[in-house]
Amino acid sequence: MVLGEILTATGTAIFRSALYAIIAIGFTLIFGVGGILNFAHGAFITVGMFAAFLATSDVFLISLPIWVGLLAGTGAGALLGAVTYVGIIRYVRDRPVTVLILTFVIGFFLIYGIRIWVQGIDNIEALSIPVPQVMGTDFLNNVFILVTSWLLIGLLFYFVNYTRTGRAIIAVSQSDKGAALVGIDAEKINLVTWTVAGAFAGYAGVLLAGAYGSGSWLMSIQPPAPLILSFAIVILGGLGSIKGSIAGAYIIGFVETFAVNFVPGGQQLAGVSSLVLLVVFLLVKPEGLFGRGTSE
Amino acid sequence: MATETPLEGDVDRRRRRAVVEKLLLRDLALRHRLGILGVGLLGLVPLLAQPRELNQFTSVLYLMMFAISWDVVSGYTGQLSFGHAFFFALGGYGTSVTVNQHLLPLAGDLGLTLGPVGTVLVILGGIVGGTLVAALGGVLIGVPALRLDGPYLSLVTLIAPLLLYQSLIIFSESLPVLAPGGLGGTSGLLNAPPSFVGIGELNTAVTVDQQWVGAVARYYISFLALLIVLAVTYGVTRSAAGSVFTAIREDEDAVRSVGMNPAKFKIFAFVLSAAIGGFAAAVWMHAGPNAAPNTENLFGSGRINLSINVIVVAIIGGMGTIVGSIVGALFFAFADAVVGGLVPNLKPLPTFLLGMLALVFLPRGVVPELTRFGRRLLAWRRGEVDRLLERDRSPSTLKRTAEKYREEIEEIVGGESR
Repeated sequence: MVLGEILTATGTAIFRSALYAIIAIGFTLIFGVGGILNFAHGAFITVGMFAAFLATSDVFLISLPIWVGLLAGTGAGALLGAVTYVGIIRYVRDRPVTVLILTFVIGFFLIYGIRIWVQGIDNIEALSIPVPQVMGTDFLNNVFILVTSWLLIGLLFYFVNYTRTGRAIIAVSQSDKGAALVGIDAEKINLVTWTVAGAFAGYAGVLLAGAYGSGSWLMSIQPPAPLILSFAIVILGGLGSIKGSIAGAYIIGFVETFAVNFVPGGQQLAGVSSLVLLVVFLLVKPEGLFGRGTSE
Repeated sequence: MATETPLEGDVDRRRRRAVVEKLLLRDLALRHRLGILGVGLLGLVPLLAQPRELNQFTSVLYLMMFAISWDVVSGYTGQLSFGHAFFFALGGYGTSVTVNQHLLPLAGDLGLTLGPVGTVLVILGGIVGGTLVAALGGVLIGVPALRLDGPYLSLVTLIAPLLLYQSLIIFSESLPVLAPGGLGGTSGLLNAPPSFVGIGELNTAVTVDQQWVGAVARYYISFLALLIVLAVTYGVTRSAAGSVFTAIREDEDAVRSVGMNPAKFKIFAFVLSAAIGGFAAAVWMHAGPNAAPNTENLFGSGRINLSINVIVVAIIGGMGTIVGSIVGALFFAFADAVVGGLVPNLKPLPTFLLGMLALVFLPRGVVPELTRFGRRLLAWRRGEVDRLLERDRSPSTLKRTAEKYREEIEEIVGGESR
């Protein structure tokens, strides 16, 4: 019986970790390339969720299938990432503290904006914004998340390692100046990174809301708190390393699932265990498992 | 006597004289005189305002104190805190729990009937308790701050209030020994702690019969708290310790190289900041308008709003100035009132926008800019035209903090130059 429980928990953990990996990838990308800790990441996820809600609900009179919602969420995330970079971050890129506080305020500006918008819509609570699952059943939906998670991560790896733009991204992440010397336009590369990161965040937002039943304007800091989760995962894996982030996602996914299932009174640990793990890790091994330089 | 060395003669007397000389109004710089005038004007606000406006203005005083609390640690030592509401919540809940769940039951057990004096003493005990709890929270955040640099620390400070929020829910029914009555979960503690002055609420220390008398009294109690906070923070930041705080922001290694321990000062800054934030929140629970120990008040709507507001206020006014927080809070409240009157539905977006604009276009903040402008004006009046043209070369606080962060991020990602 215990073995069965462990198997079930392992299954849950694998599915959950796949979702966490998508959540964290965008955050890793932006940090790896631009050295920017994007505190607006949670808001990108929330906007993706919200775009999917707008597409699938009858707010604009036609409710489209969730496949379109998934695309809409991804597109909205990508657009938002690009606009944030071109419109704001580009001008203050050389002032890290400004960027840090700005992304923080931008992020919360966006989600408070979403709350205000939702409050104007009848019959919808800002804390519970319905977004349907992509597949009909929980199990199929989880499989869909797992498969697309690995598919997208694989594509990202291919893009970064084997295309010209991807290699330029690696070059910029290693050295701005070196990249400039060989004729790479860092502005363009940063824009590409923010767009891709935004797309991942938007995609993750739709799936996250579907998997947890509904989205919320506060979802970026409510359990499972994707904003903080991304930090936890990225710090666990080593800042700026994609491989490390995936490993970090699986560690946190497993720790959380097992804590919730097997620790007495564990239900209340949902969302908290990863935070505790993060704080402990920050204090013990702040450079992460795959610190910069050992991977890449 | 001019050749006296510092250790000769009556040192105490000379020290006292030096302090008195420093405090003489006629010798103060113009900006200090203006500052004192400003604080004096704040004290006269009740003469001008209607009771309802006065209540709103009283809450601005608390915003000032909260922003000062943030400024002490983030503006001076450059350790950015993204979750200062952690300390406010500790202070607010601390005093409420101390008074309602410990002191009042204790008085009941002993069979004491509390008169006005007794109630005031209980309230003061609660405020001390709340301040101590918040200061403990400061130690809790300050110790990791010794190991963590820049953005990592900001992350921990962001997590701290969220964890606290979770524990309010977990211990909503009862927290053994510390809070036997529980912490009330998301809706907060239902029984507000007794207030200093009120109209016949339960346990009020002094009962008055008119609304506006209560409002004025609450204003002055809050104003007194602000003066205390100002005196303490001014004393510390303008002392040698303040210089060390700034030095930590500029260059930690330099601090170490002159034989001082930056760790000690960092913890001190965190504890001081936490204690001030906790104190302000604790006084608020007993003397403020809408005083109720709930999450909406102490964390802001959506758990994070208040933490952002204090950052916006301090940045508008100018980081690392203390006075900036006061000016910033006035700006903030003004903008909030004006925009709130025009488009009430959009709160808090306009104030966030204001913060973003200030960050990009006015990174030094209002107070340092005004000081600089005033200096130039004075120089121009004295006929030193050159000063007017001379560019101020000292970089802004934000820029210096920025430099430090960049170095830290570079260290994190492997020390290569970016």
